[in-house]
Amino acid sequence: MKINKNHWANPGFLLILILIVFFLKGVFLAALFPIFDGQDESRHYNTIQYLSEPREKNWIIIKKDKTQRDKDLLNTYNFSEEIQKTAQITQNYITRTSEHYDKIRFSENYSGENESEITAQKWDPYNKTYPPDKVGRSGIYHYISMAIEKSLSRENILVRFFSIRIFSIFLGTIAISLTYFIAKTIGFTSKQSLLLTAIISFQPKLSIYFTNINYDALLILMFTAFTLGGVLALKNGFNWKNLSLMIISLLIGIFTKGTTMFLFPVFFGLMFSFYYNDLKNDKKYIIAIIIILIISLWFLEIKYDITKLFSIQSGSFLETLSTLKDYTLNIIINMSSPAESYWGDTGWIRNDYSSVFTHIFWLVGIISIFGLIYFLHSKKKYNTLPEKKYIFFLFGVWFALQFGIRFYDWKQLASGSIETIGTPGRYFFPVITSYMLLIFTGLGALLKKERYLDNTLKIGLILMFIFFMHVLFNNIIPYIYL
Amino acid sequence: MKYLQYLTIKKLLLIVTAILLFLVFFRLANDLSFPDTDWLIGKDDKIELKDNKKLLQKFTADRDGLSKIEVLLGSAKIKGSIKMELLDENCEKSLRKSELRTSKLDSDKTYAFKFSQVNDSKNKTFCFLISSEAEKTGSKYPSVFITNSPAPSGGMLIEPDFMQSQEKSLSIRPSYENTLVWQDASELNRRISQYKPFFLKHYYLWAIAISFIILSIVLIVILIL
Repeated sequence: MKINKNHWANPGFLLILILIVFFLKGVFLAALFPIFDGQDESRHYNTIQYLSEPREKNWIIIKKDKTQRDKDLLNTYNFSEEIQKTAQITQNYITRTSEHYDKIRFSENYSGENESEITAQKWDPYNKTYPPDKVGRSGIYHYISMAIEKSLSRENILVRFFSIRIFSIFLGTIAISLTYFIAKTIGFTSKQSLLLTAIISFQPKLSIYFTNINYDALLILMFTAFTLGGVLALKNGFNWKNLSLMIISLLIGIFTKGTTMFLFPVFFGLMFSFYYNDLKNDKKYIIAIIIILIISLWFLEIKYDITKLFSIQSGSFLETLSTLKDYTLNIIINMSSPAESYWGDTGWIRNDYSSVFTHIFWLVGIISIFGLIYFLHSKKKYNTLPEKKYIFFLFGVWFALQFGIRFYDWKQLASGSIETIGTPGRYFFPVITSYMLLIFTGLGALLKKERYLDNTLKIGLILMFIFFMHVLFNNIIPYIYL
Repeated sequence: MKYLQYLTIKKLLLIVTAILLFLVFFRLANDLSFPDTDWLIGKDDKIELKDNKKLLQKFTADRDGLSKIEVLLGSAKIKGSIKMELLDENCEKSLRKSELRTSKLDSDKTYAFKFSQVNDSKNKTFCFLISSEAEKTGSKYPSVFITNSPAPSGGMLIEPDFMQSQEKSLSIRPSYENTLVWQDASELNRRISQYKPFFLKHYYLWAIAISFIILSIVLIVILIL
């Protein structure tokens, strides 16, 4: 049988292969991480169980103060009975603690100690202690997951829980596929777009994050979908398709997590830039945009109380400025901190080479900034790089999230709160596509030749792939199982 | 040297990828030893290793293939080495030895005392000896943590000329390897399968893991070429 060489170079085939690998990788990771081990997973899953409960709560409910909670013991939280007992049996307190030397007690066979108690489904998936520990606002992600939970209600918690993890992986797979189309739309070649997509798909922390039961899986997808809508609009002009894509992703996003509100200024900025000329000539566009703006602000006020969200209750203006100065200095000093948690430097094991990769990526990022500045100032036309309008848009999306998260973090500090929300790397995953495309555009501007950029992308892919495999096989597996 | 003309960038990248991937799996193969999780590691107390103090922990190996002992040390800045030895049941004859050279000890993770496998270790009694030939450069002496739990299967903590106790034990954990790598892989599969749904256990897990590894390598090769 003759193999057509061109078959292998078929972008469609390769994209499907990237997506299959991403999905399998996600499922494998989901199997590695113990139940409830993901970021805020227990709380998100309890939210899903709470939504799945019958409307009539015809069981005894006990009031229990949240101050009685022990951070390391899930059975002290106001979770459903099923979650509490399962956490106890699966020894969740061992992986939950910040100490890295303890291990789960393993049995000699394929079922854990007392696993039969879990699969026997003896406990109620209901919240019996109030107020229940759940996320502040349930969103679309929770309602879809609730449908999965209910459809599998006859199965034990292990089947239900891990099925919802696979749903998150499915959302991630869609997000990765959109990444390819964004890269292709803005002007990268098919091969470059595939390499960029593959690089992002192997990002270790992103890969891990998409295996969690967490509404961020849907949020990242919506940010990516919005970005695709934006670049399509820039390429083809506003039409009902790309406008619908952006509006739908904004709506689903805002009904998923409030972080989406930071995309609204980008959306209006894009609309304004499109209709700027028309605005000067025809007042109806001004009126239309003002109406949409007012409706959006009203909607955000109802949903997220944005005037309170963005107001700063503090002392004098000078005191507020002082906290801003301190906060900005703190960001600069601790620049590397979110970077480590962004890439996947877990700190779980000795002789971990993750920091080597993290420093390389950090250095590449710094270099690419110079490349981007050069690119934007240059009058030279690059055939192999995106046009500047795309770069401005991607930067706008990236900056909107960075500014929004850091502003809100600072606002907590300025309002006299002891704790800020923090800026862990995972908060910036929604704009990872924009970030990576900006990085490689910057590098491409410095490298000048397409061949050099192609080879740089390949080197980037190898680095990311090996980094991921190192995290998976030399970090995660030894930490949890060996 | 004439072969260098055939060494294109693509081939060079493939070679580098292959080497790095090999290193990842080589390290995994080295890490594949299974700690006896009946041993409790804790920070109930600690004993300083100063003035040539030696500490001994007698224990009975649970299975064949003893190849590593993990030990929890206290934080300290030091100059020198921490010596670890595996002795026979009389705590006299040295069977295996190793030393840890570092300038900084931390108590967040255990340190591994690795040695060549003791194939027929099951139900045999050994002594683990730890001592310090290091000077402190900070405020603390190097130390070993103690847990207020007896060692599984009996055992004894010995602080020579000072105390012996069966109620306490050093915060250590013996670790075992199988004879063949595929046996280690099977045992790893068993561990990962625990507390997972049926579609992430045993053969399903093998299928997922192997498919992922093979397809990801195929993908990388195609994209590089």
